[in-house]
Amino acid sequence: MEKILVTIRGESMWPTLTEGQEIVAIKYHGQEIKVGQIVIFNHPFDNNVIAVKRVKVVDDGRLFVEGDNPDPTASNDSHNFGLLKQEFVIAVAV
Amino acid sequence: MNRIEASAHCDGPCGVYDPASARVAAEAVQSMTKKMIALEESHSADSGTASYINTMSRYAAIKEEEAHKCKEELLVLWTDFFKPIHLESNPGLHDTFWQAAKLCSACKVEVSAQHAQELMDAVEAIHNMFWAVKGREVPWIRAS
Repeated sequence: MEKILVTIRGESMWPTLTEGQEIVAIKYHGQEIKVGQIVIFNHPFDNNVIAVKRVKVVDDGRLFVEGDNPDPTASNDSHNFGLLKQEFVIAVAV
Repeated sequence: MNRIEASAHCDGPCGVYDPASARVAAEAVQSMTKKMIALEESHSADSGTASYINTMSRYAAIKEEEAHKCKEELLVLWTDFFKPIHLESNPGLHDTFWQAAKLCSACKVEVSAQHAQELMDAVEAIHNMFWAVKGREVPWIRAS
């Protein structure tokens, strides 16, 4: 299981994760992703962005991901870009 | 161990927000207020003429429009840019914005140099809060 050190930029995962915080994640190899886990993924609409969000729903292999920040304007997530295909997932937080 | 950065940013690009637009509108409100007071003081004898009424009406219309624009700009900053986390470092954030929005309303319905100045002061306070949150030192400047 290859580990990746992930530095958080931004506040969409506040209060769980804050700006500059470092977390360890396991590189995604097709393992089962469960509701409640935090995933690091390539943004489906922006090739230059690697994003981090929490999985709220797993629907037929696709993920509904959302920021932990309760402010509805604080997160660019599945509310904007819809269900995330698992092929976009890079890693799953430990 | 490999290292990467993961973006946890907001819905809109943070770079699109700037309190400068509220400042420009507030300055226009203050400028029109001063012009209305000056016109009344120096040309009250002409208050019944078409040119006086036209000039005063234009000042009032611009004051009304810019005060509303200022309120809109402040509300966007308040509800879109600032997030719950910012209350930790700015516990008076909500009251500052509420008072600033009320001052916009006051400046619309009145011809008050005092309230126009208080609006500028409130926008300056919001300018300082905004740039502190962004971690940048941006001086408060006025166009006039």
